[in-house]
Amino acid sequence: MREYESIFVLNPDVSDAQVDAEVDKIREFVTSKKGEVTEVQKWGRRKLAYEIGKNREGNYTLIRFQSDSMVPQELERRYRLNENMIRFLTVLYEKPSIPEERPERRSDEDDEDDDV
Amino acid sequence: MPKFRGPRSPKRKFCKLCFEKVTVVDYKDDRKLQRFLTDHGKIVPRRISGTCSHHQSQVTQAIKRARFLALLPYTSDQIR
Repeated sequence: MREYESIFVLNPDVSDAQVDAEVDKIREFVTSKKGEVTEVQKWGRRKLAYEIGKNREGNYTLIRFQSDSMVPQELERRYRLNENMIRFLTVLYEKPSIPEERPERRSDEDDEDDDV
Repeated sequence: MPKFRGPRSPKRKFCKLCFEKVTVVDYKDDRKLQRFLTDHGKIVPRRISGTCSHHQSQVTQAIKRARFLALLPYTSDQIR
């Protein structure tokens, strides 16, 4: 089991309900393979940095899930079947860095913060 | 002995990501990645930005992923 992160970009003309349907389909598929969807982020419509097949905007959705390594492969195959799909990327999830750690660490090291 | 760095950059370069203690460069954060791109959308080389090799390779990877997802441009004239 590993944690993956998949972003897909749908045609800007698709409705919100269609996006939800796609998310549900993925969730169903991942759970059927004994995986688990841990996070779904709908970014909504966003301007593309460049044109992709006459599209200037895209509907972005992020899905994070834990599963076996066969799942992403099969998931991408399913993505390709969807005609509204303009881009997708599935990568291993990496824990983001926590910027809050820095001031905390500093107060331990520095003797200057003697305001208490 | 400090190396002569030219009249325009008297200060020593340092890795901004090390300074901020970034452990993972996020490819989804196009705003933060923007500062590692030139106006034309090219990746700024280490010798200019001062980024350490560890972070530069992460930045490069992240920018390439972001470009594929059309979060960042490959070149600036693709907008026109």
